[in-house]
Amino acid sequence: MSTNKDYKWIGTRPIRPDGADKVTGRAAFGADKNLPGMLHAKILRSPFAHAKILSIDTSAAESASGVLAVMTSADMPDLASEMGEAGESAVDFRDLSHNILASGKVLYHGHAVAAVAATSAKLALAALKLIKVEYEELPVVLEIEDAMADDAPILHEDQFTPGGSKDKPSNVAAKMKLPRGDIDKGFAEADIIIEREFTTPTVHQGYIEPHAVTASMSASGHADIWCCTQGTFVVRAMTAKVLGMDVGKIKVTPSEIGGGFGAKTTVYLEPIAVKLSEKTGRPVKMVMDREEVLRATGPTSASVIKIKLGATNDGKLIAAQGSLKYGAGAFKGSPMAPGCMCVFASYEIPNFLIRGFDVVLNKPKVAAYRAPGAPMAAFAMESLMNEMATKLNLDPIEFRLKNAVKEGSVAAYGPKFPVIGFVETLEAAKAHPHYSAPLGKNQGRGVGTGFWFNIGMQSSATINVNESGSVTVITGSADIGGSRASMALFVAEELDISYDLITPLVSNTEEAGYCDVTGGSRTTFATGMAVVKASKNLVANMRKRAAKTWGIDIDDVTWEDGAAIAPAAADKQPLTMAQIATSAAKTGGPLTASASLTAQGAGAGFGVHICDVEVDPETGKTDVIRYTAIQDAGKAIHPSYVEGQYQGGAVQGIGWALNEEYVYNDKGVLQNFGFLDYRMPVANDLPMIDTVIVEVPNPSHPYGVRGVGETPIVPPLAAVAEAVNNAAGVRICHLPISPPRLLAEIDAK
Amino acid sequence: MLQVDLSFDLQQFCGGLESLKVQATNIRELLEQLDIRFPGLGAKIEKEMAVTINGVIYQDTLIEPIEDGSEIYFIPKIGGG
Repeated sequence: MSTNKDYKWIGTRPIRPDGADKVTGRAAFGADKNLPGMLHAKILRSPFAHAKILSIDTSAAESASGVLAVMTSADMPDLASEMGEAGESAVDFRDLSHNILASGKVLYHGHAVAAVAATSAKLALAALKLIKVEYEELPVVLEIEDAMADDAPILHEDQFTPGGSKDKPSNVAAKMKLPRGDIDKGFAEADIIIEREFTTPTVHQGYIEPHAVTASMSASGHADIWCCTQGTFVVRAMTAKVLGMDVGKIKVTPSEIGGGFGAKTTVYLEPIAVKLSEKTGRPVKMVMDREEVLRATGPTSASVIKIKLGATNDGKLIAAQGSLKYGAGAFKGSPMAPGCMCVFASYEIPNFLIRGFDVVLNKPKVAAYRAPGAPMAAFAMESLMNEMATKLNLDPIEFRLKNAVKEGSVAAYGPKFPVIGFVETLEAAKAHPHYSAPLGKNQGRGVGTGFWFNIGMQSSATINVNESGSVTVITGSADIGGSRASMALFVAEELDISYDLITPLVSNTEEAGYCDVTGGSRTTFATGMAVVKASKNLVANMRKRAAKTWGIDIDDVTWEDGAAIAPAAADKQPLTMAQIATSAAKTGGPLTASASLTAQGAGAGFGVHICDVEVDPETGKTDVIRYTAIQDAGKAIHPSYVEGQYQGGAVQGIGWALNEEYVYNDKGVLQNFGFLDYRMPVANDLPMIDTVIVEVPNPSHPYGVRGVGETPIVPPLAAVAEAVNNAAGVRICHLPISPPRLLAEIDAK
Repeated sequence: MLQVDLSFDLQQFCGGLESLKVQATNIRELLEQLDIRFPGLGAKIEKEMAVTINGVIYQDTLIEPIEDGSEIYFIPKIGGG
């Protein structure tokens, strides 16, 4: 590992390669794709949150003006329940299929039922009204604990709780238990015990760009898909599975992506567009509107989390107990397991018991959202850590330092931590001027910490050298956070050439080597490893070409300043990349290098956030007036984009804490289906988010990188809640801390 | 020998056993040895879980070498957003 070197390029802040196109409007996003003869398709969605589909009559729509095809779930293979790998986590392909188009039942308001392709979007929308669907309404269940009750309406008659009754179906799709030590003994030895229940609402990732796809099926059965996605290969795999196609007959080309945050790691429209294109023989375009995005794509789970925490008077945690219930939406698969694994992961606790529950509800199936499952768990645990510090009369960061995990600590989820930077991050927060700055009237400060595992998975990279000595680096990893710049910086550092000579490309599934999704904070870590490996292969190749040119041994050739050098042969002038490339035909052919790997050893990320708020006691409105995000990046390849991740995660977490929630009526109909009513923070709501990059290198990466994209959304919920508590004197355990809720708490004080 | 500690959920597949010693030099051999002692366990772990070797998480790999004396733990596969 070379993390202590002085780098030429790593750690610098050049302008992103795609920046000019994005600020001038030239960049093409999902909805920008147009093809000759293209049709437009629209989706008919369920008006009920839970109902049997008794019949669907599409005949009138099929004969409507401009309509070329109508489809329902009957046009897709009837898949058996089968868990499979697709993207970054397991998925049941039958559930995936039934979420794309309902089969037999609708399970949430807005569930897709049928699709129409027509010569215009207007005609497609008109034809949707001609489809006659006969429903039998069923009771709706929206709250987690209601769904767990014995007499709850059941969403899936064939779903049984593992380890539970084999005769009685259940909405509890999975359970988890993580025990350690003896909690009864631990709590008996505790001097202070606190127990509280916390709830968090369903919230959406809020990406600006709605889902969009254009698909074209050729006469030979080869499908072209253009879409905005975090993973072209996962779109290919899921579409192939759902439609019963061979992956080799599907090509997925990524557009630019206007935000994803985990949510664009699955498919909603792509299989429908492909099937409609097959039926019509023409390209088909589908674009969701904001209402569809909020009603029918995957938000993250609501949660009900109960935690009991015990500590001794000397400030050591001695026992903890947690119950974590996560709503999965219409199909199993909430982030309950990572929530359970994260909830106590930051602290050394000798005795604990964690239980988790994955519960289906009449809401849209959840999708990944930055550090899935961790923010809710941290809201509960970190809120109790703040309360416990107060009761112990300890500084909240000092209390955390007394209990913080470090290298060799046994994580609550089982293994021992390798090199991690939690202590260094806490110390950086404690030393930050923000932490000791004075506060004014009605103002309060809170801290929160966060942990996320980060992941590796599969990545590939190819580097081609042009005859001018410039290079192109090609990967299949969607750039959702500035990764093109990071890939170019890796190449610049390894080849020892200028960043400006490098063109990083994100290519399609037939031209780029396989890359798993851009998610799990893996791209700079894992795809970066592939790029570094390909760069090293290329340097070795160019040294070999120079050795051939000079007629000397490759071991006598080194690589410096972007050129081959023969240190022991004074008569050999350095050969630049351009010279080697120009004569490549004579030394073995074009200069290209590739590498593929399954990256291992993703380093865990820890963050500490400091939040100051001012509360208006007359209205209950909370304003964040200062905010600092401190996090271990291992090594920041492009610090501006690391800081951007810290800022973006913090802002999304602040929105989750203060404003955001899905509001349903008792029929399960979402009431706030636009950004006016689903209130996310915007630039003029917030101060500049200050950042501090801590660097404790990850020994498993050639430059020490740790993933940085997810950890920053974990601490804000508790940091904001504690700041509100210190400003207004009320401890909020139920999010969001909206003005009406806070005012009611203040009035009840 | 490797020290293999089992999570509570995996202990249910091993008659409540909390830990065991296994001779293996890579993850493939480790899972094969577990399958011999507890049929189906190795396959379940390969499909659903990640392997941690001395705390470092290895996911979707069979070829990772394991040094003698290493501590092994299995955790659910990690995704992300």
